[in-house]
Amino acid sequence: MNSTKDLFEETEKCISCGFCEAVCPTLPSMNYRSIYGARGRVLLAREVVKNINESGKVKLKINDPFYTCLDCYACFYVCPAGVNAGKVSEMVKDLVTEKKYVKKQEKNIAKMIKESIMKYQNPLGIKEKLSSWSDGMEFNNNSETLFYTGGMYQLMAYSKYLSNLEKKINPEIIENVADAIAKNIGALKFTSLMYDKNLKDRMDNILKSIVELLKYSGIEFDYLGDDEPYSGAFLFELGYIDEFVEYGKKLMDIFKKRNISKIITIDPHTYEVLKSTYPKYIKDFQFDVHHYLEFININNFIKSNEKLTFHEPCHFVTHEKYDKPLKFVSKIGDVVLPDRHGTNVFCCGGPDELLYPKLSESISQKRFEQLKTTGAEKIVTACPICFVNLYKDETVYDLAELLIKNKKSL
Amino acid sequence: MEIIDELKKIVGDNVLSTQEDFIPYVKDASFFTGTTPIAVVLPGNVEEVSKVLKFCNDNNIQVTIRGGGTSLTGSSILSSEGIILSMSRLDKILEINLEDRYVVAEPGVRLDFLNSELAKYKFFYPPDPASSLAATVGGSISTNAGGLRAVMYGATKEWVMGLEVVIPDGSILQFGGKVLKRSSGYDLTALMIGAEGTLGVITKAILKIAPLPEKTGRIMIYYKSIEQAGKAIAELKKSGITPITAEFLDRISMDAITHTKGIKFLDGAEYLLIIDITSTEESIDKKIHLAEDILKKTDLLDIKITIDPVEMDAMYQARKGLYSSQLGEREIPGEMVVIGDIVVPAHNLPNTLREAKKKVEEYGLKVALFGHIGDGNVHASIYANLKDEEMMKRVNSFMMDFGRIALINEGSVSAEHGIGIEKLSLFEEELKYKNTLKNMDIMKGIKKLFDPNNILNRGKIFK
Repeated sequence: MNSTKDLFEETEKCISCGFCEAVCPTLPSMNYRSIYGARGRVLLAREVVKNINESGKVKLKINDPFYTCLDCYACFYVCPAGVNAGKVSEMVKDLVTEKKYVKKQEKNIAKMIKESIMKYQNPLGIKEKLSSWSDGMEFNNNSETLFYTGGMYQLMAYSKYLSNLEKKINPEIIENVADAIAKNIGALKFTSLMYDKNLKDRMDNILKSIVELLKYSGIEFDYLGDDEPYSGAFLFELGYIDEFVEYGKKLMDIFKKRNISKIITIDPHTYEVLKSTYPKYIKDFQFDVHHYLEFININNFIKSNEKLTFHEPCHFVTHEKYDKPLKFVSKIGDVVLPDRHGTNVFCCGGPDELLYPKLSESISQKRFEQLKTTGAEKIVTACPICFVNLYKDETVYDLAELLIKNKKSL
Repeated sequence: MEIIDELKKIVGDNVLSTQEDFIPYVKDASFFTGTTPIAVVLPGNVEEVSKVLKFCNDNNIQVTIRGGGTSLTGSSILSSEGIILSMSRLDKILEINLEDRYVVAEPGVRLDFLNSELAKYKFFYPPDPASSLAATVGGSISTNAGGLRAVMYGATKEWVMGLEVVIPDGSILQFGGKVLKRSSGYDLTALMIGAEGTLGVITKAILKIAPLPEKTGRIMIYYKSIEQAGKAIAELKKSGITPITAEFLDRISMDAITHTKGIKFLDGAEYLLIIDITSTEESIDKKIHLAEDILKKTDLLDIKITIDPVEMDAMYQARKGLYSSQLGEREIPGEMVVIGDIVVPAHNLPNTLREAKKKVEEYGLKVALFGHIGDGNVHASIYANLKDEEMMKRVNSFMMDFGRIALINEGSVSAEHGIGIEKLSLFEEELKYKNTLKNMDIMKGIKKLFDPNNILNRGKIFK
């Protein structure tokens, strides 16, 4: 649980220069309505603190401006005063879900996802549906190294289907349905039938490619199959800090019972939450967490003549400062980065996909156009959320797909 | 009549009317808090601007125009009841013409974005206020923004060829155009530059552009005395070398950078000059060494030269990161850095700085002095606790004295930040000092022609 004192200190540093809103991806997609940009969020949060200090309750309607924040942290890197509007949004979402000062502003879709994670260890209650990609594959059940997908790649076929459906329905109806499901979370299991078949096949193949790359490098590991729980990253991102901590402890117990000491993650969200976020909140959450590329020898790949552009995932580049994916992309092709890259990255819009599908679509379209402007033959991603949001034509690839194509034969 | 309903008839959903929505619009980068607006209107084209203005004019509703909201003098917040007209949605670059060297841009285009697009053609738009990441074409024209490169390229007024402007009666006017020469009556384009949105709404701008310099070299020189630093830049200019930027930092500024960024500067030096010189690939070395020979004749402590991009970048951080470093030195939550902005002829800089430093000591304030030494622009960063009334009185009084120092030294109370709310008294003081108060009457007369009902940005520039 964050304190209002933390929120006060973060927002009081703001000098309202507006640098943050110049790089905020949500602002132009919300027609420049200022509270949907980084500066607006910080100034609104300052009023939230004032409300709490003056009357002990927040009278302002604040949920959408903060839930739409993508947490990309691009704002933080241009702020002369060192304010992180992404963190401000995280803190306010925490206040919303805590319900002490802010009443009745929790988003029902967020609540539904939370309930599902807490009950089924999966955001859509379909944990057991997510291991079929590994049918017929062999893992080392005695290994203390775990290949941990967190279900992220697998979930994309379902979440994309749902967000496409949401775009056609009035958001108020969606909130009402989500509320009803949250109260009877078993009903969410209907989503197991709702997925994009082609996307599922593509994601399954990416997972197989990642395993093949690791095995090619001689790495042995276990995989939890049907028992694999979700990482809990969504709980943190949606502001459910108490539940996040509770869930993290359960996750820790699962890993410990399986004698896991080393964890290989494959996406930025899972990588960050296991490597950095849980240890901040749970003292004993201490595992040797890696991204799969750390185990792969970069010299095992050949360079093609292809012109590639790379969409760096925010959680790698601004949260974790992890740059291995870019090095691998540079190894296999001629890289031309988009204008917005590095810590000035422009998010794919993915984090808003389930709660604000139209906004997410608008942001991803802008990013796709930026990537296309580079003139590259292929757009490369290293995150399933980025992939799905930018997958608007056949030039978009996950890095693992290209690595498999460009690996030297043994 | 419900104002919001009427505005919605013009711009649809692009009218903001909730308490939450208003919060960001009562602030800009100044230390003022504006009046809460009746509505915030975000038009999407010139016709909508025209209809909104006509409606407000007919109903005597005050309108404050907002670009990037980066004003340091309170130009972009309301000083009394009215609406905010945000130009953010007009964010397109409409034409880039390299042959005739101009770009046509809408007012909401941010300057750094404009330059990132122009850089693809190896061109740029030279005005570069420190806020260029967020500052917009419309806002920077309205304050005649300057920046680091003004020593070579001048301020914004040198780069505006033409404007499309909407005035309160709804008329859409064209000033200037796509030609470099024009000798046809009063220069109405120039009238709009620095007008801070008091005469009309800029809806399109035709801006001159220039080829990017081929090669840049950087010289850093340390001095004990400001006289020598001032002399250095004067000697350089006298020799025929015009730097693209010539910045100075005082010791407080250098220390702020050291504390926050870990960049170290020469011990015992009181002033640092950072001078950038541009030339062709072939002649950059020759030009840099020519400058070095001239600068070495001054009483310097140390000199460093580089054309290495990595080293240059490290030095560039020293200047570009200064404001952030100064903010990092704040000691209490809510403390602000209030920035003073004066300009004097470059030859009067040593005297100006000596007097400014004396004033700082007299007031007992924590103040860093820095600025664009090449064009005589001095900034004073004053650490101010807005909640401490006694301190704010001293800050305001210092600002008045700081402005008076500029006047005594043949300069002006505002170099590149405009007048806004902050400098109303100082502006009057300047005209009085120059015995030309009549200027104010002329300006008010012009204002009346454009805006007879005084709906545009009331309370700015004039008391």
